[in-house]
Amino acid sequence: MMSLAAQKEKKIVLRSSDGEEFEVEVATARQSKMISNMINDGCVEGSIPLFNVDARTLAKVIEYCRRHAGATRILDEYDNPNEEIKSWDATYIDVHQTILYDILQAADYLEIKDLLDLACEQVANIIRGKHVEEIRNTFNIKNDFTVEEEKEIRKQHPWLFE
Amino acid sequence: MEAERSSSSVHAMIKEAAKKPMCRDRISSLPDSLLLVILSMLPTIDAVKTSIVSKRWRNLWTQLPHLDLQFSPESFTQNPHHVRKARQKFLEFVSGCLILRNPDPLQRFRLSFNFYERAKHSAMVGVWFRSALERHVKELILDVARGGESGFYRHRDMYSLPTSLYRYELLTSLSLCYCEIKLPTNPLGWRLLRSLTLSLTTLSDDLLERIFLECSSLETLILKECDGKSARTVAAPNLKHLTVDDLWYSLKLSAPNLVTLTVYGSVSRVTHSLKDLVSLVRATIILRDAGRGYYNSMERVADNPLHRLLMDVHHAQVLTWCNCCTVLLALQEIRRLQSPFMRSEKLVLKVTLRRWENPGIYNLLRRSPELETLVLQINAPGACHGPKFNEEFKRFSKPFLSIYPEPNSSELSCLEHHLKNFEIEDFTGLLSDDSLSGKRYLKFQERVLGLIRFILIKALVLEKFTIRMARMRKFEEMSVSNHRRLETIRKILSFPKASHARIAFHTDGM
Repeated sequence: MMSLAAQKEKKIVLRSSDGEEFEVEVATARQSKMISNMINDGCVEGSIPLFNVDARTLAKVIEYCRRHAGATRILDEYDNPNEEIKSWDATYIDVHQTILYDILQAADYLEIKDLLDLACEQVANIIRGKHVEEIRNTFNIKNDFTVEEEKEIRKQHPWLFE
Repeated sequence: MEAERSSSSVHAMIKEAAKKPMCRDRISSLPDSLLLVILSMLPTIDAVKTSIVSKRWRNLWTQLPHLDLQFSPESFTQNPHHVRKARQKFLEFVSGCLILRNPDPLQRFRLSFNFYERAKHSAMVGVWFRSALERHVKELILDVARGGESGFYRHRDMYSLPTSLYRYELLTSLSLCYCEIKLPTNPLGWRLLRSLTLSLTTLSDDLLERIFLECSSLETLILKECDGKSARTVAAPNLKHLTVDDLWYSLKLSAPNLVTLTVYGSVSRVTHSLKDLVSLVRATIILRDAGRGYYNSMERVADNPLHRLLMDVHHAQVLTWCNCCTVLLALQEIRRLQSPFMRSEKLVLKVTLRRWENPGIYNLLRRSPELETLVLQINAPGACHGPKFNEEFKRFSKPFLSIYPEPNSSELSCLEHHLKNFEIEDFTGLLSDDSLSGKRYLKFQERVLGLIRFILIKALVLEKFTIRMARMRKFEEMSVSNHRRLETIRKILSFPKASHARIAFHTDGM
């Protein structure tokens, strides 16, 4: 285990799937459980290749990790739920759907639980209260049921239809 | 100029492109595990709806570990007048869900619905319960008052829990609202129960005693809007977290392991007695304005229920108190009543900073020699500031305020040795508000700035002073208020400081 001061100074290089390199502080990188485990195992010499995350997404994910790496310290010190970080999160995740899925999948791959929850919650909020047809339109989902199948579903869920 | 225009039009194009609907169905290509996380954040009705969008989504919801069945008319009918029809559909929906969901264990089962036809619905709920228990449910939430009037409930309408529930052994968390709790003579099966919430029900000494005795794992208890009569002190040896919200019941507990205590409710009904709180770390007391009768009892400043409650918790390390408490302490201060020292390291006070509150704050500072963090939340949600409240306290404190001297700083040892963080959270923008014009505003500002100045001059080891200002309410107010805000900030920056404290201003996060 490194001391906190040493952690602050040391930097780690992350390489995105499209070859761009990002230098980040250890505390920021440690927000990802996957990278944190790699650091603990001592296999972070050179740069860490992230095959599933492109540069645009990685930049966005690092923005989140950097903010939260700082916030954890504030939280420990004052020991109260941080309203500031909540409103920062809300602004951060208010992005277009395509970016949202990229973040969601990157958070899953990098094992950043809070970010994964934040992104999933955002998708859930899009679904919440919508009618079936609205859900299809919003997410561009194609109705691939046959007429018979649809009949059967209506029989199973009569309460969903007027 | 030309270059600027073209760059802004590129910007606009990007923005426009982002607004267009996606041409690809990305969500359906997410793995099941992620879709299940997303669906688990929704009420079950929304999750079930996704089963008819496409084949990909067909059976996903049946794998969810939770069933969250809450009635809301708009989910079941588009016509607001068809509530009765919507209710009927909801009942079909719940029965259908339990049939269609796979038989795998269920982590949480939540049912929230007002059973207006008790006899008919009780039988139904019984069947649903059995079905949940057969799936080894661990967390159970039952609210049968939703849609009913809270507070004015009729006991004959309460739902009687099925006896099988008392014997059921797998529960870790149970929340009951508007249910009649009749413990059987046989021992309870709730040995694993860690968290219990009871709302809108009748409590008794016997009931609580048995719960504390037989639920040996119970750590968290939340009691909300319950009534009943208590006579004796009940032992709660394992309880760690207690929340008491607007009870019509005088809770009498001995809780040596209690770590957190939260009390909400009306000032006139905080007649609780909580003894032996030797492990208490956090105590939050946030009360509502009360009727006139209460103010008269406030005249007995050293012998009223609120005072006794404050005495029960005054040794906690972190105290969050509303202005009812500071006002009481102010009355004690100006009448020069002796009060014991506190061990608090952090004080969060919801205040209005009216004139008669200041002595209360000084009283707390004097009594908290180890205080490291002081947070004053001006006009925060939870602070009492009705006109009656103000009037009544003015009446009590006026004769004394004129002879109340400024505190002697040598008495405030926390300022000399411990206070490191001082925060002011201005919730309604009073520090820079224009709507409070003229004399009243100036007086208020003078009082707040006076307090800030006092603390900055006297606090020798202060490290950080933070002011969080309320966000502007209207855009057009901004320029005027910004002027006031800058003026306020300039004044504060010009105050002499006894320490090298950093000063931070925040305007967001409110």
